Amino acid sequence: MASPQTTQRLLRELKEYAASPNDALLHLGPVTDNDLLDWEAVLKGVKDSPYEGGLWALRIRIPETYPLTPPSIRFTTRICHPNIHFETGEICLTLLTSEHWSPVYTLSTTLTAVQQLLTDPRPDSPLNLDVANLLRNGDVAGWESLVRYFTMEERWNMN
Amino acid sequence: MDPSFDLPDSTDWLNTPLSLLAPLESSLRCQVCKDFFNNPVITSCSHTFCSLCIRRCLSKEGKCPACRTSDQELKLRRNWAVQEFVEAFTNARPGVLDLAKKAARGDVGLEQPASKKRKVEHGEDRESDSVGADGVRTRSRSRRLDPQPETGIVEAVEDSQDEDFIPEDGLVACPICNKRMKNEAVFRHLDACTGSASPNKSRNLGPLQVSQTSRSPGNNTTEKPPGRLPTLNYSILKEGVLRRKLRDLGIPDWGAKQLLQKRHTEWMNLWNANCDSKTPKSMKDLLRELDIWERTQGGHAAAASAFAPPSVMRKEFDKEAWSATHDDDFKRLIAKARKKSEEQVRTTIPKMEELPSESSKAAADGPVTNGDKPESPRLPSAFLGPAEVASNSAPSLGPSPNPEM
Repeated sequence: MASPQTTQRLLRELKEYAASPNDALLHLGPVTDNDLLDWEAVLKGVKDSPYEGGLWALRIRIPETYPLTPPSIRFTTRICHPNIHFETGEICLTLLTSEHWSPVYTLSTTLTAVQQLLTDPRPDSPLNLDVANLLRNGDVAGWESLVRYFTMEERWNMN
Repeated sequence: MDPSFDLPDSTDWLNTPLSLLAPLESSLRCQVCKDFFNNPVITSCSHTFCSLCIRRCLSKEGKCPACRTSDQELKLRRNWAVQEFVEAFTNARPGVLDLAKKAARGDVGLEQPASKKRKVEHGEDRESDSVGADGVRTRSRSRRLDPQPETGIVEAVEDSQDEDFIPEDGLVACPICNKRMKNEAVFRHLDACTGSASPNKSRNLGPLQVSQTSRSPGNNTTEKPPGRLPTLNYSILKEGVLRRKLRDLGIPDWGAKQLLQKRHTEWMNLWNANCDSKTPKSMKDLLRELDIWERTQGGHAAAASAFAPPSVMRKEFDKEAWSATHDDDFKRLIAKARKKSEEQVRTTIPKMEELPSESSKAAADGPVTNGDKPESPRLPSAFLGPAEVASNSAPSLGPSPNPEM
């Protein structure tokens, strides 16, 4: 059970997203009406990047102490990125750790940060070693074509 | 309908002619809870939050949520200007929003009877003012509203000023029901007004006036604030000492040290935030808030099962609810236990097969129980049919322990 503060804040975020959607997202909201602590989102790929045209589903688990503690977000659609685990979808992003999280971030802004991570990979703290190695060895062309392949191959669709 | 749509927020202004009020409203809301600032305080880095929100953040992180600068709750200072701003805005909000929504639908009362025309124009003035230059709005608003707070004190002044704005009939409208009456009669009427009559322009006047009058008390509150609770260094406090402190504060003192610590922090935040309030809540209300915390994030929270045992011991413990919410857990634990003991049975079997002259499962159990493991006697009876045990145990029990010993 979430505290009244958490519930209210989440409802406000939901309403705010409905009124002013985020360009980075196709969808953001609770998975079911019964659990306000379990959200899903669909992220769009950034234009003019190898991720362009991509769509990825994400699952967002919100702690009872939100917004004092960060939500845990992971990709449920496979994505080819040095800082995202290919199988588990785990994301290596500092603002998702409790020491770098701030209650000022919302789910919507946090997902914008996830989108920014796509265009700003950090191969030095990789969760996908193979992709990170391509980048570290300077094989940008190889990296881009791999990303393009998986972006289209794994692209999320309604079903 | 989705409950979120009943929740007022800054996006309510979008899609109205007053959409520029959306950023104004969001700047009057706390970035942590997204609600209007409640007892706003300012940090050393000049960011403003609700007193309770920033206290909770600081006790968890020690940093300002907006800029991540280190700060201490001791350095928080009340921000009266913001508080008054919020009060004034929230008072005016329903009326203004109502008008804005009507305008968005295109049915602002332009087609009103001639006698009210003058007032309608005022209404329009206000609306366009709000969208347009700030100076104009402020002046026109204050000019019309200034008389209000003073009315109780200097009636003569009010009369003379009112003449500028009030229609020719020399009457004034009740700010609630819009009924026109003599100026002297308004205050007597207000006491009895049900506000049911024509909800036109005057509804917008109402809140605005209220906001003006409610301003003054804010400036006057200089009463001594109730004593604040100091932060404790939990690491140097023994559990018993901490427990006594909680008892002395009049809050629940059950649970392990970690929970006592969390509860004390929450209480300190609630208490000290209440000290920042213009209208402090009673101890009873604070205790109720602590109880909500207890149920959602404290010792009664489902997630914090580490603290469960003490709560089970409490008198008012709700057995039904507990078994309902933990039914799945119980079932899972039982299933786990079953699986584990089945595995144990299985692991014991190979051992038995090493023994001479033992091939049947049931027969194998007998010797192990007696010879090897002291905890296994319960296993055979639980996981083997009683008939099997009975039929096979008799012959096997006798001879096999001996070779092993």
